[in-house]
Amino acid sequence: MSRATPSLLVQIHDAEMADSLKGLLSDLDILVVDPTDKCDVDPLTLKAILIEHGVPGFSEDEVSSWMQENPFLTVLHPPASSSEGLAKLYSLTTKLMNCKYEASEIASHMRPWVSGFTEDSKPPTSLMIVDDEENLRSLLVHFLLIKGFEVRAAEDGQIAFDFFKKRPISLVISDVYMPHMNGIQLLESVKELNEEIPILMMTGYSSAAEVIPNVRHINVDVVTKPFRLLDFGARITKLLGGDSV
Amino acid sequence: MTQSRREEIHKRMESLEMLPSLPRVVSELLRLLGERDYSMSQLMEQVRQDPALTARVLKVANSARFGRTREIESLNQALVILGEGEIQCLVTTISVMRAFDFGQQSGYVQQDQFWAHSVGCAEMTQQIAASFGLRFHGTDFIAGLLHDVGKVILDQHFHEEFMACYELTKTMGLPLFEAERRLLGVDHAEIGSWLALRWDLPKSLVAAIRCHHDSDVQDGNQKLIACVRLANHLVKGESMSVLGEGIPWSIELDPAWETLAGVKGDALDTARTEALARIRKGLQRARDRVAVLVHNGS
Repeated sequence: MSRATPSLLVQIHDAEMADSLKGLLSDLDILVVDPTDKCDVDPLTLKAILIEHGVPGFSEDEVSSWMQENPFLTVLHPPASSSEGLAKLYSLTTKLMNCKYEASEIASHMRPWVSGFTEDSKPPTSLMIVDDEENLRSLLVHFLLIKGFEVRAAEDGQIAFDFFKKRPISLVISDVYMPHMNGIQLLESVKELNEEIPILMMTGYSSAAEVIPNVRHINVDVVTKPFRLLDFGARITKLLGGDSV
Repeated sequence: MTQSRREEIHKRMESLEMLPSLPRVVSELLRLLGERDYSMSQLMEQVRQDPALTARVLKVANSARFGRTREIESLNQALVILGEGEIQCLVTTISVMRAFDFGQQSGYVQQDQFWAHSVGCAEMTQQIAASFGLRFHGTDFIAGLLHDVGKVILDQHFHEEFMACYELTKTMGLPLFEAERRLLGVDHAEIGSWLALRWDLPKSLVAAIRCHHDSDVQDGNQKLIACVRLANHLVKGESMSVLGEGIPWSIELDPAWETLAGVKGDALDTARTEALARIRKGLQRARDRVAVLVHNGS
């Protein structure tokens, strides 16, 4: 199978992850290849390739021969297909391709790309992502934009809560440890205003995860980092009552 | 990477020669507590051999905070008037406080603040254990007193690393122990337990110091650990610590309640509410103890 040669070639197992990356860098000359696909590649025009270990598409011998032809080619083996892996991948990719996006910029790139999105669809459900870790925050924003949600992002609980008081939000997704107002304080503040609002807490720290089950509120779930986007999406679906993702 | 940092810190700590030693009187007390029938007179004998310690115990025993009008002139008199438990606490606290040299006070951890937190925590650990009908025969007080000694070691011997951890607590909103684990691969609790091992303290004490920030410990000492953990949380909430490290949620959310109450759901809510009401009543006693032992001269 033959295609136009991209400047970045990505071949990874996780279709969701591949889609997110493709969405993020949609205006770049990027080719996301199915794991078993073997397209024709001109190694001289490639800037970088990202190939996950164990993907059957290209053999190590083939990749080595490209590297001999193109000494400037960077070969990366992205970490396991997880949110953390994707966040790293995203950061590496943007660095390699010498580009940096603002969230709004990415949103405008993404919208036409989202399959099935039309101007007259019903207004999208509005979600809020709160995390002080920039890579993961922007990754999740993009993932949810792809899924057709309207997404707001904040870097700490205080900013998120100030916004929450002014505009309707259907679901809050928040990290736990953050400066100024942490995720638990945000949860308590949001629940005080509206007990019904579903909240998905995310944390990579067991000391934070262990207190969430003791929060006596309805519609609260916790996902531990690193997580798979599929699992993340499933939890959001469940919290929203079964539709949308 | 953090694993190798941990090993490096362990190695550096092993080679330190200036670490505090366990006071003899405390090791004697621990030995006695491990015996079925022990007599306080053996401990008193040890105390008597140390005139400075004797003088300090008598001074504290005579403090107005204890509400005595008649002067206590001897250790035997103190034992009769204050009781064995009280004398054990006084002797232990005074000896341990003397064993740590805070030097020129150039570090972050300030002596009075540190001991105020530690003594408050020791008292509350004992009260929490009692409120759940648990009997640890004095080791609960010692566990509370020593739970944070790792901070002193970090501050004095790994000062730059320790300050970087504090910086991380501010920029990322992390509790100190999580910042330490992230940057150093080891937290002050584990470092304190290394000192406890060096001192050859009983396993229950080593576990209580090492795990006072963990809730999923299943080594037979989880109830003692839960008491120290809650005491630490409570004392911080009551401003008996100004060490710049708070636990960023209310004590009601702490998983240690379940460990101590042994129930879940609504039954746990009831047990926790009742226990908290009992325990909070004891806070004044902890403040009094801090005032007598820490703030009334040294």
